[in-house]
Amino acid sequence: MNVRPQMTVALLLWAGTVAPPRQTPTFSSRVEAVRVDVLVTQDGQPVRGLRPADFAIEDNGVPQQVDLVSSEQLPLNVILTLDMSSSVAGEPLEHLRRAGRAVMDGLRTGDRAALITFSHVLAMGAPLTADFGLVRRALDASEAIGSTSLVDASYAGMVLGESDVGRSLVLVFSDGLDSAAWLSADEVLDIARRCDAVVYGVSAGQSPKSDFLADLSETTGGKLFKAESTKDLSAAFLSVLDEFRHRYVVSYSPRGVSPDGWHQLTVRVKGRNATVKARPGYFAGS
Amino acid sequence: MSHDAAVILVTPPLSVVVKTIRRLFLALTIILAFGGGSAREAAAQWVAARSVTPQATEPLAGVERLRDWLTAVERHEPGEVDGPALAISRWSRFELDAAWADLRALLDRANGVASRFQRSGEAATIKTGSGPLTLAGAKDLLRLTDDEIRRRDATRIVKRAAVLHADLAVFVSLGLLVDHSRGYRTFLVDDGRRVGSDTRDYHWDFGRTLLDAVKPDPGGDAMVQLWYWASSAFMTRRGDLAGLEPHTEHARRLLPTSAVAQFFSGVLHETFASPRIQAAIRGTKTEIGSEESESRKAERFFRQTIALDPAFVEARLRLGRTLAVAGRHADAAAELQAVASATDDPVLQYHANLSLGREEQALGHRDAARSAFERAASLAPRAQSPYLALSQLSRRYGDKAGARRALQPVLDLPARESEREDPWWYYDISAGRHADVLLTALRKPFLGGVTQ
Repeated sequence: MNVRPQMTVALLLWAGTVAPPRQTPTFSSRVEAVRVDVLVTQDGQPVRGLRPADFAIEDNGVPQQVDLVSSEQLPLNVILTLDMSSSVAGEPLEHLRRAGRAVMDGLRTGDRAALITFSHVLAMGAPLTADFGLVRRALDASEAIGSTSLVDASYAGMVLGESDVGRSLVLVFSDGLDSAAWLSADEVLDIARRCDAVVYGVSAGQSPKSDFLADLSETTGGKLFKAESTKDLSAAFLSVLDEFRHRYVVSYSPRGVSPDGWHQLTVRVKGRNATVKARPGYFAGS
Repeated sequence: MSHDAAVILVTPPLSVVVKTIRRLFLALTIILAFGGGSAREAAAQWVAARSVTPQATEPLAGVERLRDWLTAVERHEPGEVDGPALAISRWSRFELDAAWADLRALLDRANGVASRFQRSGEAATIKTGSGPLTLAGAKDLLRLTDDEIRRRDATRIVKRAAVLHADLAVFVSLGLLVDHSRGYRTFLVDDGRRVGSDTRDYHWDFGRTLLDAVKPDPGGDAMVQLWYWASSAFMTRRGDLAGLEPHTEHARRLLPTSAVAQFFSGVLHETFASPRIQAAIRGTKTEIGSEESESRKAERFFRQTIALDPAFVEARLRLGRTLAVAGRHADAAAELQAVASATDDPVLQYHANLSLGREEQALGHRDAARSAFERAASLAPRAQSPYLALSQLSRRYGDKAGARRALQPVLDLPARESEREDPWWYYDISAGRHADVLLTALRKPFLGGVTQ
């Protein structure tokens, strides 16, 4: 569940509503909104056209009034966080580059993308940019060598993703297990509970898979896609992008709950037998 | 250690080794020993090798082989990839064991002949496959004095031979010589997965066998101690855990009061507990335990190291880290703080401060954690780990902007690996960073044809 406690004014600006800065005194009460990124599916297909009244949200068991629901029209920040360790060398690297380029081809005007690559070395291939050619060139220049700092790179992807206004998808690909990170899985999962970026993990192949990537995807309200082989990465990456575009951003102003600590969230869709995917909670004030 | 026990060899690719020592530390490869079939094969080889040991009444069949080996031992210039080294590198494990068995047999028989001659004046000879050998001929072959034969003491030979075989192990490991000795087979694993198999060389094993024969007491001999120190450091730097396991086990038995032997045993088990090894053994039948159990073993060895040598700072660093794995944050922080205050070694300072920061954070000491991470960052400005730690610390306390600011230096670092440097990447093998200095010290007394 994507949660962003923030000023309502910021939310309105971000949602595309024209709210000139000069009008900010209207929101001077500094009421914080919570933003929840939600995927709603029925029979495996995204459910479209939902409105605020269709959602029921409980914050620590207390029903909340949903204020806004936004969907596909919101621009995306896509942070590609890609494993370039030695296990990816050769044909899998070309598959990975192709998958990254496919994501660039699937982005729209207003979207932005960044590329983080990792082996034991964590590197910024391209900063968050609307120039997708920059990301493509960085993909083409990437090499596969060394061990795997999956946990470090996932952390960097989340921090980069939440550092900007907009709706952030952190797409993390790894074909194996972490073998070189400094940060621990527990440390980064703890941060994930405080962060509003949504992580979609993608794994490939038959080698042992990282529990961390599954846990991180679950904690942030994302999902882990498992590709049979790296040949299927383009399809997997595009599925992630497509699914993310069909998610809703639901916001509410918390009432009747503590202003800090862990908040357990429950999100339902009224009157439908729909499956709702969202983060399980958030840390207020973090 | 039995040959069917699972062990690990971590070694960088050859190309990395040849280029620079720095690159040597980077891409790690892991090798796991075969169980089952290979164990039987190894056992069969061992039995075959032992079966060549000549019985007391049999003629010595391998005198010419023994002569070749002794000549190579004498003529090899330590540290050089020379003709004698090349010649012996072509020998199989069977031939090496047979030469050693022949040397011991010849020494015994020469001793017997000498005793009989002393008692009765009888000038007996030793039967060999190349004809009878007189006592003078045996002495000439062995290059031993009358007194050494009387004491059955081949110490001068075995020390020099142990240096030759250490060189062979090093040269094979660096890809400078092709191995024909064929030790036990291993699985090859890279970046957390098995990618094939390999056979490790026999020279370290053979060197241990030789040095067991040092008289009067191999455990009290300074050269033997240095040989184990240098070889353990080299194996650690190469990530040769398959070699290090039996090596440290033997070292502890032979050198029970050696802090160094305890230390490298701790390093071995600490590495077994590391994510890179734990990742590699997932789904593999192995004697390597869980992170917790291997970490407990490491802790025991590091405590024994410190008990034997309280000034062994690196053992304290590693003890602190094993305590951290066990969740004993206050104890870990105390050890790490002591290391940070006690050493000028920048590598140890870096690791101590980086790890100390994590423990201070776990204890809720935010400012102390930040200070420790910042000290680590100042020691290695091109390292990513301290900045990741600082960023995570800020984010953990709700400071998003601070987290982004702290991460920025990492994102600004050049993407090329050759322009980056993070001692954390080499932590597992950094205990072997003095291997070259130690090997040089080991070889020095034997340079220029000197036989001690």
